[in-house]
Amino acid sequence: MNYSRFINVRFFLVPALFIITACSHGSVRSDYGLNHYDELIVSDSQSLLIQPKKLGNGSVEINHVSLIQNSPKGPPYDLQLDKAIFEAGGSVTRALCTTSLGQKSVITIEPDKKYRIDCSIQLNANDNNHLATRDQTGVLKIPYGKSGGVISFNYFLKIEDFE
Amino acid sequence: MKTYLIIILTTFCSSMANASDASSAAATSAAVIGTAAAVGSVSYRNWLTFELKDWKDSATQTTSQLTRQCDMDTEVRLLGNARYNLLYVAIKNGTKLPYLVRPGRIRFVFSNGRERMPSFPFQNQSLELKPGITSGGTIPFPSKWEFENQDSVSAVIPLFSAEDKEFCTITVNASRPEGVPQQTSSFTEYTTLDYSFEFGTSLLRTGDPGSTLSAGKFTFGLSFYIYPWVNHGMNFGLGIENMGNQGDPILNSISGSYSSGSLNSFWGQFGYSHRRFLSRRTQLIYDIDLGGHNYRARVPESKLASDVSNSFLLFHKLSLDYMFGSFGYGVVIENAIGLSLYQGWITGGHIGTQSASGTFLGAAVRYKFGF
Repeated sequence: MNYSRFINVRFFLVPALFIITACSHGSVRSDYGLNHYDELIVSDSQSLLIQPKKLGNGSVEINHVSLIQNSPKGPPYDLQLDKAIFEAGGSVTRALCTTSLGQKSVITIEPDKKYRIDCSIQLNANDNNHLATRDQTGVLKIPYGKSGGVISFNYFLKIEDFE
Repeated sequence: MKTYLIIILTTFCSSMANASDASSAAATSAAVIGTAAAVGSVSYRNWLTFELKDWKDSATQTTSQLTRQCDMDTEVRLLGNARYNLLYVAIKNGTKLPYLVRPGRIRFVFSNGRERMPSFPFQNQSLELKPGITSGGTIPFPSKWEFENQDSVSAVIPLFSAEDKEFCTITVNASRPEGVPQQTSSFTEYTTLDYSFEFGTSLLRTGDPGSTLSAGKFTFGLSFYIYPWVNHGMNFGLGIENMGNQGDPILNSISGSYSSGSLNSFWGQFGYSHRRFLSRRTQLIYDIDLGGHNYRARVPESKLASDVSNSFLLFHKLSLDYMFGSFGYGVVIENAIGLSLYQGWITGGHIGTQSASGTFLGAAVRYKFGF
């Protein structure tokens, strides 16, 4: 029996419309930061679709989530969370980063260990006019190790975030 | 129309797609899963977080696994919806040469030793891993049931050179954290929207209308189910029973000296539905509903002699369904046949000189389809 006409007309249209409708809102905010830095493997796929939170008066809060995993053969790495910064529109803002261990200035990632890093960044367009006039790609930077290495993630900011 | 729909769904269901930018990665993942169970109709921004809850690591609150093998950075996640579990894979090629992933060559190895290949709804092209670029997509597991009682699953992803020679194999393992009980929803394949057509017979009717001895009369019912969860959902149903004849006391009380008439019973109800999987193909469903009931007596010889009675209805139904097969592309429709036993309590109302209150009992065979 040929079901194709029955299926397409009766049942595919509505689900297809659901999908099309669903795909039409929400926007990706993060460059997919799947990378490695020395023996550390990092990803910010969790942040792909996290939208900034409007705080009013031109302020927004960005909540960025990343995963950082040391390889089984890697040496321990210190992650300097207290030195995490966010660069956007020519200005630098402090990023408040925490892990499941709580708020620590430095965490050590042992071999084969993985951490989720939650960073909160507050930006105000009144302090940085570029944010209100141009879409920006901000960069979250987290220093690691003793050799000056920096893990970085991109984050897309839009003018309307600050309106 | 047909062509356009196929194109749309083919595009959405291409389970491996270039994800060199974030939007295509997210959209691809969302689309594949969305198509697989579009009735879920959840905003696509949530799809990447539609991870199997009981497989999430408590520290990171994600199923994400990161690894570096074959000079490639790799991330996998376990995603799932009502009908499918999927592996989200992203690979960043850290070499200077392009390589290929052949989706059909990927294997899943479960902790019980079963080795399965992915089950794609459409033919898939090879995925090219360009140097320095992140590519990926979602790979559907052949069945959610494979996850039942499993603690880990490995994805074995061979990489091929442009000359079709196997270059290296990436093996990524996802584990369910120790001590976390397995959730039924992470391994049960279930439909979220069901429709059923029920053809049956009345068994008993009590109260004044019961004196019509309506047992053996033909009944027909329609039911519509929504199951946001494996076991819990809502149902909406309609039913009809043609119970009248000329010797009916109700009809006699209405029609008086007229010689013929008909008495029909209609009902509609809405309420809770509980579903249990007795096996992978057998479901036991219990519905308990509130609704309305309508007696409609009609005497063709006299419009004045017709009467209608509306009453409240408490209704429950027990059904046993056997899922016998499925068909479809992308959106797969499950078919079932079953048996239902139902009972309704009618409260209040009069028809003719008789009280409409009473109960009715019926049984039906039914055909159900869902997706």
